[in-house]
Amino acid sequence: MRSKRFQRFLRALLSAILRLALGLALGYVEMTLIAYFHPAEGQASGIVPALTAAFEGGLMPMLRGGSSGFLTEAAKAAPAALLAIGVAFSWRAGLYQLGGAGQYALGAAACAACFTFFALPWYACLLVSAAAGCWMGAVAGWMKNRFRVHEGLSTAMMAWIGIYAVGAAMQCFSASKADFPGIELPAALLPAAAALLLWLGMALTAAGWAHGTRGESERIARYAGMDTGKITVLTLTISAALSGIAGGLGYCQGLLTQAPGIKLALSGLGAQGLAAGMLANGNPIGTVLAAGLTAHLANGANSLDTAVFSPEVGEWIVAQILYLSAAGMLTHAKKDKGGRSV
Amino acid sequence: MTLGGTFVLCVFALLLSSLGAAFFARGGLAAGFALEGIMLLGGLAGLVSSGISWWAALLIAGAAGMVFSALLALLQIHLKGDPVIGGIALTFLAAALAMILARLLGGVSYNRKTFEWTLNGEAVSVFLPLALAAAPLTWLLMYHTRFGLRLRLCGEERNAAENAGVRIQWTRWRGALLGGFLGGAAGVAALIALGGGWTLKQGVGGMGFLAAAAMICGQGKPWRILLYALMMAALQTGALMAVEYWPAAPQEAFRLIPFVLALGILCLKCRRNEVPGETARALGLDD
Repeated sequence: MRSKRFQRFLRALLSAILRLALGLALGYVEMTLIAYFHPAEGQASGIVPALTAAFEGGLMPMLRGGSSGFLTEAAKAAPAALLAIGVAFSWRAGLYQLGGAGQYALGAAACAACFTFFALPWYACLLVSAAAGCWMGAVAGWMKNRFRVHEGLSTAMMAWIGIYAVGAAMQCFSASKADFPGIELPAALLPAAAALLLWLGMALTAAGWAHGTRGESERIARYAGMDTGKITVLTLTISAALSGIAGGLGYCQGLLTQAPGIKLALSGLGAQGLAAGMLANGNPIGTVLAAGLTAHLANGANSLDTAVFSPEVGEWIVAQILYLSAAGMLTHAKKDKGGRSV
Repeated sequence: MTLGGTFVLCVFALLLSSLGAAFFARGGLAAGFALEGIMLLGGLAGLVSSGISWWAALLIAGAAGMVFSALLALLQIHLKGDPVIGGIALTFLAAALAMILARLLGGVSYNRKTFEWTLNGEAVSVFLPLALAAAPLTWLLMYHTRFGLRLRLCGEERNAAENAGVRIQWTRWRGALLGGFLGGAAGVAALIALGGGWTLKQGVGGMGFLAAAAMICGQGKPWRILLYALMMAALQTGALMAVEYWPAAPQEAFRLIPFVLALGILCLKCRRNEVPGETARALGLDD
């Protein structure tokens, strides 16, 4: 119980709980402010009614979440979870993969195309989704190796390319609604399986060790002789592929009521994914659990008292949790930059 | 919307936000990923208050941008935060907040004529003289004032700055607030350029990242940033106006062209790093 590993785990867990609690507390204060300045009809004005309204109409529905069963919730949270795993995996290697939204859109579009035009089964569609997303990571990795372009910027810009491309495609073609009976179980299990595979790879293989070392210090990894260029490209590719599969899953489950595209640009999924990855400090298995939590919160926001609160409040709170996660003083920082004050 | 009018709007939007990001970067902070958020919230604030007058709208937009950039500065200066994740978090925050505020305010409506003067019967955009003055003023501020010198010192030679007695945190804060002001004001032009059918949840259509790319290609130097911002603005104008010349083509296909070309320009310009120290890290160019 006193081992260093357990202490680090405990510290990471406690900081995650702290961030969650702080984010929710801040969100509650903000919801109270909204309820105070924009009360629903019939609500008395004043601080205490605002507090009550924010609690009953705001915080509690979010914590309660949706009313579907565990399997359905897990399946519905699967796209966010896969996005989260992808981002967390590349963050562990010290790389910022911010193109999730675009890869998601491309993956969904590819899956839609496979289903509409070729009537492929779900696993084939998802493979195509992965391929549709993974090239972004590969190109970003190559640009980082060859031209020193910051991968966060390049993936973010490629995400917008993907979003606009899918938007344009949706204006030319139309896809039929997905019909994959029995997709719920594989969808619910896929993030867990992916997380397990990645975690085993990171913990047990030499490549995984190199991956983690690059995250701690890219310079030291290179000094030790590890091929950091290959790690970069592979990590970003895998991460992008996961986001592509997330998009495919989103389409397969019929979660996308509108054309996947520009509407998803800054959608909550990106925030949920990043927040989950940061809460779990990049550990894949923890990320799945954290993604379930953030998806629960964000979906719970759909049942907010709409007279007072808009559904974006859920995304707002998740984004705040993400902001707090970025604060090094609250996190168990994976990369310790020596603690020098800025 | 005319071609020239859209071009002026895009230049103002991209130039001012990349100059704002330069004030961050030369101080040693990284703002590239929060620019979307700063522009969005500043633009929203400016458009909502455009009923007063154009300069009040720009001031209020700048103030909103300052508030948001204060969050980013707080994260990086005092909370030892990760600029990339923090910036992205602020962008998501801004998108959600913009939707919430828009709903609370009952929608955003503005009159484009507020931002136009009539000169000899022709409509001249208010943003034109401001955009023309932005780069020279930034150059003057950065290279010919004490504040600019100290800001650059904080970013490039931090130890020298400490030895010289420069108050590093305070200087960086001032750079950040100034950058936020510029970014917020830029957001007004960005939102106008994107047009009436734009949903606030989509941010500013990725223009924040174009501005970040312009800033990085320009290595934080005002005149170079002007060059790259003009390039990006030309591309973005083409993308926005293309639908009027090729109405049959899907509009969104044109919007991705600026990003493709911006990536290409980034590839060409990122190989050399000309600014040392923490600014290099802020530009993402350290090794």
